[in-house]
Amino acid sequence: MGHSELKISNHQVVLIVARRERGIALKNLLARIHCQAIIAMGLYEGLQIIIQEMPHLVLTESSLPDGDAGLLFDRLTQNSTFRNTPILVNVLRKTRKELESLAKRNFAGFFLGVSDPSLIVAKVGEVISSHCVLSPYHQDTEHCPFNQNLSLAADARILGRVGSFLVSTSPFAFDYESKWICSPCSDAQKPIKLSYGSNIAYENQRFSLFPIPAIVDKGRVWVEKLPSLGAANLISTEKVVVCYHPDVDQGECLVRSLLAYGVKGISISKFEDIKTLLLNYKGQIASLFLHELPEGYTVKRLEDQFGDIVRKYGSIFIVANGGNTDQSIGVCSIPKLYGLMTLLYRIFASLLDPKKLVAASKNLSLKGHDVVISTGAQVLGLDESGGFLRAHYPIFKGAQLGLDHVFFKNLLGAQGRIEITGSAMTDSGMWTMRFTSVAKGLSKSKYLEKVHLELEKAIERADQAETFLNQKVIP
Amino acid sequence: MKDVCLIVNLCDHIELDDIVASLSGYDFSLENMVSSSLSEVVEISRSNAICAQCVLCDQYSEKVDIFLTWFKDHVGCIPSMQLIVCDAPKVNLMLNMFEYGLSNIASFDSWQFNLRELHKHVEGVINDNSSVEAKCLRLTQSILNSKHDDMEALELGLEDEADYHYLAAYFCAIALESEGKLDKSLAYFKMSEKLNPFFIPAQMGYCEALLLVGRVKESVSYLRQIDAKNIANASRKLVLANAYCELGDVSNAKKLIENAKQIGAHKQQYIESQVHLLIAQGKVGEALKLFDNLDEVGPHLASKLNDIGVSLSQAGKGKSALILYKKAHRIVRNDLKYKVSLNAALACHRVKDFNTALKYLKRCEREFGGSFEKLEKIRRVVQSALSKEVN
Repeated sequence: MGHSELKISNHQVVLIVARRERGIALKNLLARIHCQAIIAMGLYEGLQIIIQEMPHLVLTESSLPDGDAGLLFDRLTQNSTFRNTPILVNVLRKTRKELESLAKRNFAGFFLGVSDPSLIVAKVGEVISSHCVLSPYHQDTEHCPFNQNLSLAADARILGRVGSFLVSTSPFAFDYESKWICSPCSDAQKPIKLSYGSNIAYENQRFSLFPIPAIVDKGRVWVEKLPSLGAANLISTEKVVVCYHPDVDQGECLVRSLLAYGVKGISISKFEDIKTLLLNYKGQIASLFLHELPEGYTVKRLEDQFGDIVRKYGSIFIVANGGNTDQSIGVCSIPKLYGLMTLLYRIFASLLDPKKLVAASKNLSLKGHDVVISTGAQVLGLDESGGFLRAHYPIFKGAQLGLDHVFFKNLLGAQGRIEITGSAMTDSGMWTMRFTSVAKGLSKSKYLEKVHLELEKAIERADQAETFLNQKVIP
Repeated sequence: MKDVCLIVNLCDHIELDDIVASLSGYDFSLENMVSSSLSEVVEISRSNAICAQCVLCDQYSEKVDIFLTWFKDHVGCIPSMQLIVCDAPKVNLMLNMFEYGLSNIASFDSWQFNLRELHKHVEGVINDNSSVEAKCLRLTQSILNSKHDDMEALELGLEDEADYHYLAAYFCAIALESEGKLDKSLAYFKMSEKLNPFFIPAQMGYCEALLLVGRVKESVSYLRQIDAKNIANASRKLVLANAYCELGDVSNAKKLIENAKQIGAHKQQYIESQVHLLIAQGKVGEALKLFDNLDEVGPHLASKLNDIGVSLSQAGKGKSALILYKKAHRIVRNDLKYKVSLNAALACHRVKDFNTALKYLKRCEREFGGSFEKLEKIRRVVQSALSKEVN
C-alpha cells in the first residue's frame, strides 16, 4: 500500500483549541490537503469527540482552558484504541509551564506560535505520512482468506435491447474498461460477462448500455430473446457526430468510415471551431469526439468551457485521453490508443436519446430481468469507518455495492454494503479504492471492535480449516 | 510442440536485440519468438505452435497485412490472441486491423504489460480444451493438414457454441467451406455476422462463399457495402474484382485491380486476380503461365480451375484438362487438393485411362483423410469400366 492510497484517504483531524476562530482558520487550512477537521473547544470536549470520531490526527494547542496537551496525551495513551493516535501540538507560548507539560511525552510533532499556514499544512502532511498513511486503526487484511473469492456485487435490472446494446438500470456508473459478471436471478438463465459499458443519466435515472456483440457466453441465448425497447424511436439517426482530428485527411477518412456504419459525421480540424459548431448545430449534435486534447487542455477545462452547452443539448464529449470519467456528466473517455470497436461502441451509445429511453423504461409491460452484477476484488484493509479495496478497474465515487462474502455480511449486515469514496490507480495498473461501510447503528469504536472480533473469528476458522486439511493429507 | 507467442517487429527504429532486451525481467507464460520476416515465421511455425502474435509497427503497411493474414490463415482469426503495438496509430491502421477483428492497440511505453496480459489470456484458453478459442486453433490445424475427420469432430464441438459465440460460428463456416458444404457454410457465416455485426472476417467469408455458390450479384452488392467501411483495403478490392470477373464485367475488374495495386496488394492475391481476369477474357493459356507465381490458392480460384478442367474434359480435351489439373494441384491450398485429384480422376476416366484414374482416386482419399461417398461411387464406376476393358 502506498501513494495511491494516500491520495484517496479521507483523514479526519480533531482540532482542540481555546478560541473557535483559531480552530476555523486551521480547519480551512487543512481542507487544502483533503483533511476533514472537527473543532473541539477544550480538552474534555476534545476527548469526547476523539472517542466518537476516532480521528487520524489530533492537533491541539499546548495550553487549554480545562487542561493541557500533556494531559490529553496521558488520557489517550491509557486507552488501547487511541494509544497510537498521533498528537501534533501548537505551542502558543514558549513558557516553562507550557513546555514542561510536553516533556517526556512522545508527541508526533510541534509547531510554535502562530506559524506560517503553509508550514502547518506541511507539518500535518508530514505527520500523517509518517504515522498513519491510511488510518491509525488500519488492519491489514490483504492476506485474509476471504479475499480468495471475494466479489463486489450490486443489484440491477436488464430492461431489454436497443440496437446492438443491452440496456440495464444502473446502480452506479461503469468504467468503460471494467468487466462484470451478470448473473440472472432465475436459475434457468446462464450468467454473462459484460464489458465496455456506457452510462446514460437523465433526471434521476441512470442506465447502462453494454454492447451485445461482446457477449460470447452461453447466456447470450437469453440475451437474444430480450425485448427490443424500440431502436427506431430511441436512436437519433438524424443526429450528427462531430469528429475533431487535427489531421484533416485522417478526420475525413474516419467520418467516411463512420458513414458506412450508419453514423452521420462532420470532421473538424481546428479546436477553436468547436464552440461555434455546438452553438450552430445545437440539438443536432449527438456527440463530439476528440481524437486528442490540445496541449495544456484538460478534461476539466473542457467541461468548464462547454459543459453548459453540452448538458443543455444532451450532447456528449468522447475524449481519447485515457482518463476514467463518468460519462453521465457529459464527458466520457476512451483509451488514448483506441481501436475502431471502442470508438464505435461509444459513438453508438451517444446516439441514444436519454429522455426517450427513460420514457421507454416506464413501459409497464416491460418485465425485465433481475440480475446481480459482480466483479472480483480484494479488501486490503479495514479501519474505523471502512477500508481499502483493490480491483482491476475503478469504480466511481458514490457507488454502493455489496461485498459478497459471509465475513462482510456478518460485519456489515445482510448485504455487506459499502460506498466508494475515491479511487486511484497504482503503479501496477490495478485500482485502489477507499470505501466507507454503510452499516448503521454502530459508533465508530463499536464498529472497530466488531472488525477486530470478526477478523479473529475468520483467522480462527482458517486455522481450523488448515489443521483439518493437514490431517487429511495422505503422505 | 512448444506454444509460442510470435513478436513481429516491423518498426524501423527498433532492433530485434532491443526488443529481446526490453522483455527481460518480465514473467511471461509462453515463450516469445521475435522475427521480422515471413520466411522466418514459417520456419518457426514448423517446430513450434504459434498461438499468439504481437505486431510492433510504426504505421499500417502492406507488411502488417501480410503478417495478420498469415496468422489468420495458419493459426486462426482470433482477435483476443493478437496485439498491435504502435505509438501514434493513424486511422488507416485502425481500419485495416479491424478487418481482422482487431481493436486493441498498445503503446511502446507499456507494451510489455499488455504482452504479459496477452500471454496470460492465451495460456488460459489453450490449456482449457473446452474453450472456443482452443477448439478454433485445433480446427485451423485440421484444415491446413486436411484432416477431415478431425474437422468434423471439432465442428460438432463448436456447433452448439455457434449459437452464442461468433467465433465458433465463424470457424464452423470455414471448416464447412473447406469440406465443400457451401450452403451450411453460408448459414454459419451469417450466424457469426448476426452474433457480431462488427466482425468483418465473417462478412467477407460470407461474400466469398456466395461467389462459390454462384450468387455473384449478391456477393458484389455486399462487398461494396463492406468496402465503404474501409476504402483503403486492397484485399477486398481484389475479391470484388474477382466477383466482377465472374459477371464478365472486365472493365470494373481492371479498375479495381489497378486500385488495389496502388494501395498495396499482396503479390499472391494480385496475381490470382490477374488469373481471374485472364480467364474472364478467355485467355486461359496466358492465365496458366502465371501459375508458377502462385501458391496456396483459395477456394474461389480453385473452384474456377476445376470448372475449366471439367469444361475441357467434357469438350474432349482430356489431356489439356489433365495438364491444368496437374498445375492446379500444385498451387491450391492443402485442404482443397482432394477436389483437384477427384476431378483429375474423372478426366482420366473420360479418356479411358482407368489405371491412372484409380491412382488419382487413391491420392484423393489420402488428401481428404479418408474415403467419402462421391469418391466411392466414382471408384466403383472406374473399377467396373476397367474390368470390362480387361475382359
